[in-house]
Amino acid sequence: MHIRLTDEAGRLASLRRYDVLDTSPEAPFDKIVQLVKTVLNVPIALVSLIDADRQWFKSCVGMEVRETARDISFCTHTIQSRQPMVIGDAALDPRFAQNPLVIGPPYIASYVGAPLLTPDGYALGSLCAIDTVPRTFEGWQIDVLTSFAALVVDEFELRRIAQTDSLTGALSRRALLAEAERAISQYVNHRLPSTMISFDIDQFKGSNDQFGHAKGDEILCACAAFIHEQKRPGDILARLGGDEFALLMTDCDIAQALETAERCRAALPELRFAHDPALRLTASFGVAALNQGCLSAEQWLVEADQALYEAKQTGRNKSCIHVPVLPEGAPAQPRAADAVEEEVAEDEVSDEDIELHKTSVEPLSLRLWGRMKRLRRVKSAKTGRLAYGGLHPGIVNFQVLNLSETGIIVETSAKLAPMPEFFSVEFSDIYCRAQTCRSAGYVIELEFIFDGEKLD
Amino acid sequence: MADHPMELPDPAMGLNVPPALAASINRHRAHVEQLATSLRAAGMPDAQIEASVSVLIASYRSELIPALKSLMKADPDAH
Repeated sequence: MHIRLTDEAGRLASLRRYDVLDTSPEAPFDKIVQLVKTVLNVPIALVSLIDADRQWFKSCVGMEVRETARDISFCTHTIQSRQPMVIGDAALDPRFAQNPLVIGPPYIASYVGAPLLTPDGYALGSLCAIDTVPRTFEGWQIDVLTSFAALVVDEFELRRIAQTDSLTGALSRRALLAEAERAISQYVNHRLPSTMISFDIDQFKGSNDQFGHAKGDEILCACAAFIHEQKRPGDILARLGGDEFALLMTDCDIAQALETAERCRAALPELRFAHDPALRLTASFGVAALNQGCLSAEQWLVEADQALYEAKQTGRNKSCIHVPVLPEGAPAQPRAADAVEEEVAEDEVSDEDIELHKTSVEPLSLRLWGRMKRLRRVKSAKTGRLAYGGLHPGIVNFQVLNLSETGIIVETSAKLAPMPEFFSVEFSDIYCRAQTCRSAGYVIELEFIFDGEKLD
Repeated sequence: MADHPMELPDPAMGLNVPPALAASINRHRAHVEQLATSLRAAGMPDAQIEASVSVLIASYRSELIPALKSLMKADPDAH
């Protein structure tokens, strides 16, 4: 095995691929750690993963904390070598004598750690045994610890393989559901909006029957690779089965997700295939944002599938959104802007760091739809994150209705105007045909709708 | 102390698994054997070694079964 000790960026990327940070405790790791504690007769044993600026414990006995800063961790030294690191008396080692974990709780006096080496040579962290008194670790104890460390990596590896669709490299359905549950938790606890896009290739079965499964697999792989290029780095692409895929977009409201779906839909026919140069792929997309009435991953997928079904039933090669039926009295949908505003508040950034933007006609890249926006964009100067105004539940309905006719905008606006929580000048997106959007009369009409507000 | 290698159960239960998973299972099997050897060299009684190894194999298998189901659902030809 080629050990990559100096490639920190690659090591962190490898750690991300295993997708284990901040996951719940799991019995297999706890059993290994318990065996290490028993066999090596130590009070503390850990599976420690070294993140960019912290060490996080996947499993731990004998310590209460789940993470510490990286710069005080022993394990960050362990991953600098392919060999286990042994400290017989930390008080005598100049690297650790004044370490807060040595002079304070848990009062580490001796340590042995074996690096967790992946098959491709990266050290994700270490399996370590810690004592509160100085001691000598015997050679057999170090060998046993090293063997246990290899078993820890096997467990990580098993999860990674199970999470990946072997044909396309996208995540599996099971892994997607786990990620979706995390997004739901973020939504419930921090009002962070997330959106699921479910999509499948139109008439795929016919293509599969005509050219055979091998060519069908080639199409699936090309489609997955294409979507992978189109998505944001943090978005999660999964293959749900057959030709059905899903894209989970966290920190993303339905307007942004719809824009992504439409961009992908418009560009997909550009893919070319050697076995059939004339083949033009199209796909249908269903978009569903997390909402108060949907708090399980399975339900979320069902809602995205319902929108996908609608797209299929109404002509294919289109995107439809799921309109949630919210419980009475439910609060408004969180917007991406909420998260940034909370972040800004938490960071105690002054008002000067928040930029207000107002834009008007903004044709989308696919040139079919334009977007008339009267919204506030909030930018955190500290993180550089820019959030859109997003859509309130009423606006979701509004958006569906106003896709083609300005008359409907007038009618819908009149209905929504008495409900300022659903319809405000600051937080409204209007989707319309680009040609309509660019016409001067249309802009004047919208100014009238917005109660005389002058559009930029 | 026994001088013959420990008989390890096949965690895949004889199923024809996808190559990526088969490689992982083989590595796990080798690592369990390596651990058993280390424990035996340290003088641990065979019964205790078997108990430890059984715990590890059982917990690995408990994760392997859903992994197999997941992979076979995605690729029905791989069984």
